Amino acid sequence: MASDKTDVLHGSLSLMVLRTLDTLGPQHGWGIARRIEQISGETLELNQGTLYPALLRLEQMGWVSSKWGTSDNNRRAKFYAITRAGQKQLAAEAENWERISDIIARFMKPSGEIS
Amino acid sequence: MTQLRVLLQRLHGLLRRGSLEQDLDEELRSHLQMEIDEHVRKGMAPNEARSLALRRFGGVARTKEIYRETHGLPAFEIVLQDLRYGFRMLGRSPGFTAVAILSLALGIGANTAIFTLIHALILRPLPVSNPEELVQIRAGAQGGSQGSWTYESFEFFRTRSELFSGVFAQNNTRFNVAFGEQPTPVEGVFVSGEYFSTLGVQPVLGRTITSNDDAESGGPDGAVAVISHALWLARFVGDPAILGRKLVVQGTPVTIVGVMPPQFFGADVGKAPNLFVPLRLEPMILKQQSNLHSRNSWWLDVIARKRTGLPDLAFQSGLAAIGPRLFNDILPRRKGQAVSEYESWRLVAVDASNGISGLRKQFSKPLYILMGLAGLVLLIACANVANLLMARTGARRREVAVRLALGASRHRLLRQFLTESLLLAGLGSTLGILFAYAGCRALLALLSTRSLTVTLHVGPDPWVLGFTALIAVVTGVLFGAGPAIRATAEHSADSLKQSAQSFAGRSLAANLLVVSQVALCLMLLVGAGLFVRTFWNLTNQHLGYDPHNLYVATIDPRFAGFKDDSLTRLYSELYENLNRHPSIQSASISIQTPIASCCWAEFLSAPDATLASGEPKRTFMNNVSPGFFKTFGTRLLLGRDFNDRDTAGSPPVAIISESVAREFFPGVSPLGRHISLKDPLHQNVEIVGVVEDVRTRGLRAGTEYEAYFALFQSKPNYAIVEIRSSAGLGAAAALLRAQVQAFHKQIPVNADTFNEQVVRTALSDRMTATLAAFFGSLSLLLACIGLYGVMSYTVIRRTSELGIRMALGAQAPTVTWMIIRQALLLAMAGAAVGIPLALLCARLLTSLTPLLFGLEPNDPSTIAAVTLLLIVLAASAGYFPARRAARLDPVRALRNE
Repeated sequence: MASDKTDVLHGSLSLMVLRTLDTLGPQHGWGIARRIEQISGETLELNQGTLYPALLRLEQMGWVSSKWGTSDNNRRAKFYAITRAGQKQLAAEAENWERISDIIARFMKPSGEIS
Repeated sequence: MTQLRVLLQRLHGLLRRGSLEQDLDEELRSHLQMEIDEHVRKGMAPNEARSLALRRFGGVARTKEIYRETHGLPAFEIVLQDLRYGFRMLGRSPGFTAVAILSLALGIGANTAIFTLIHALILRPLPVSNPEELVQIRAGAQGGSQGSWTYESFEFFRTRSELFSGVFAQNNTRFNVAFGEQPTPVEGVFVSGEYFSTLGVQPVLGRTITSNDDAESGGPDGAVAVISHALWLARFVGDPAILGRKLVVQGTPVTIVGVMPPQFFGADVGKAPNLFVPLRLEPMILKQQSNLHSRNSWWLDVIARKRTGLPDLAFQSGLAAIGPRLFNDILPRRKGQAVSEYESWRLVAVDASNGISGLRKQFSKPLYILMGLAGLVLLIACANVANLLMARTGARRREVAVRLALGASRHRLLRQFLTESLLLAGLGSTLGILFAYAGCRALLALLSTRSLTVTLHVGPDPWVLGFTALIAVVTGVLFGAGPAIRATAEHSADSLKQSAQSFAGRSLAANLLVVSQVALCLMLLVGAGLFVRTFWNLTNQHLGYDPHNLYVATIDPRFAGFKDDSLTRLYSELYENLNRHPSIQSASISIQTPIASCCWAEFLSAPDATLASGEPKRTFMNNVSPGFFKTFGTRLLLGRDFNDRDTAGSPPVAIISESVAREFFPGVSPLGRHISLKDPLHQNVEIVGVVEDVRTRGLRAGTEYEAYFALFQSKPNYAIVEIRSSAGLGAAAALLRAQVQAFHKQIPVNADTFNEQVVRTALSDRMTATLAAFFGSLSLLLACIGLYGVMSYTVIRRTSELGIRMALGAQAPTVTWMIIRQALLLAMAGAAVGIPLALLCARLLTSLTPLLFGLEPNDPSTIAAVTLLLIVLAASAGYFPARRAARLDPVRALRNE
């Protein structure tokens, strides 16, 4: 029973999904997965399956919407698009992320105190 | 906001689980296909591409599982799973299930039925707009004992617009309406012009009565009336062209201008008026019997709507301020009284959001008591089910142990057990609701008599269903929690080894349950016994008349144009005709009958009384024809009855009751002496006879002073015809109608058995007695089932012990007695707890209100009889298991281990 009570952005994966949809426009699941792998320079071996529960959660939050369509090579696929609420959330989370990563980065700077 | 949204989405997901699953399948398939395509495009072999794609995806089944958890409500799904499992378990032991559900259904049904009545009669707000603003205006020294008003006082209230946004007056009555030939009684109400606007109800057809219609000669449309939905359907088959049709109401034609909606039954709960007539048409319809212009007739209910937004304090002080003007200037003052009789009065506004009701006063206390009794029945049923559940959890101990061993948490198992109990309670209450609605019909019949129907809307209602759901949950937890905690408390390793036989603790708990069942049952039975004997005492006391085979009909030939001499002639001819009729043993005519003779009481004096302090005494009067006492079976103690020589021309004569004789003429014969009333018609009337006292004001009231004058020496208007006949109501009513209407077709005749009128004064006693007896038998049955279950279980538990005893030479009767003795001990322990409790409750209840009649709350014979009954039944509940025990084969019993 992995129920996620706080329902904040589910880890960085959700953030990556929202960012991808924001830049690329509507995408199907495989497209999102490929994009995340490419951006990460193939260093992030994504377990592609974990993407789908994350997408469902985002949809339940109202941050993405989905509808069935046809892909470039004529396959039926479900396309996800970011909603207005999703964009707002993305902006907030991005700012949050920057702040946190900034703090973490300052901690991680070699300052001679670390033995 | 987002949380709610997610929840809704998940609920939605739950409902369309199937289609979401398909969606996901298809989505994943297309994902994998794209991945494979990609690899193939890069030159990989299709097989290899497929396995790489699957690897990179990372577990399709696992993804689906996580997905499923996300899109539904896992907690809810577990409940569903528990319910499915619960249904299976119940189905596996149908005997247990049937007994448990039936016990609960009876208990819950009884409570639902009584609550339905309480809700309909007492709690439910009127189906009008903003009912909470409605108040009934009453007055009196404390609490407002006086609820009726004169027309002048209503007019006074009507102009108090600083307090009320609307005020109306009403008077419930019964009209005789001519539908074709036969005048038919129709329940109706006189309503002032503000009635419908103050209540705020709209008609389904036409218009309501307005202030314009409320005028003595009729409004712009003449004399109008509004009819109920029920009358519209029954008499006019719902004809939409009803508006403008005329009804002849007691000889006066009125025009129908509107039809009310089906859920509107007026402001008097329990009555269902079918005809609403403007108040000021009353003189036109009732003619000589009109009250409208009488300063002394207190005949109107006054209901007002409080001005919206008026603070309560201002309202109360405003009410107090208008009181003196009303009491000093408007209300009739009795002549010759120095101090106003209203000195101590003050006005009160009683909440009327749930309407007003005469029934409420009569039935609310009995209903609350019955609610308590029904609660006891439910407790007994709960104890039964708890007992059954414990026996069953004993049998399920291995299952529990296995599940605990396999890693189920105790929490999870508790939940499973409670779900099963709640399931039982749910099924029980569903069946109970069905019982309740069947029961409510029967209950309403108990509240009604043939001529006076109580109409309460008792259809399914959210409040009632909510109440039932609540008691279902409470009972489910009550009987389920104990067994569930016990069942899951034992440690798995031990339980697995144990046989299903040795639990001393379980049998202690079971015994405690049975003892409390017996105690509760005894309390209920004592209550039932007291109420049944009260009703018996009421209906079998010496009344001074014999109410059986006696038929009465009120007639008023003035509606057919008879008056003065023609009226007197009609009565004397009718009297002759009836007494000549072969199937009538005795007939008479009077202007009152006992029970109904409420309305003519005066101060009687005796000018030649032997007692020095012969103060005038308030006495009930009646004018009766010869044969009245013979017809009623009232004994003539001294002198003679009236006869046909007592006519208008002969000296006036009277007959007095024995208490009047005792009061004015102690020790001497009153015959030949005289009595007087205040009016000139009744001065120095010679006493020619003395009759026994009769109970004239109902079964609970004592006797009153009574005096009778000769009917044919007075000028009767309306009258009551009485016949004694063994013909039965149908024949007697037909006979009365034929005899009366031989004079004129349009004379209304409403015949009834006299006994019906007598019983009507003890309706609430009848209801309490009948229901208490029913609940008592129900609880007895449940307690017997409980005892039987425990004794059967004891026999199984003690099988090996009994086997040893029998092998050592114990005889069958000894073994039988052993078991029966245990049942008796349980019953006696229950009685020992129950009797003091029953005494306490009976004392408490009767101290509140006079419920009992002719016996004390600690009536020893009732308690003894009830205890004896319980003990005999306990012995028989123990007998069958005991017989089984006595028939045990010792060898097999010993091997039973």
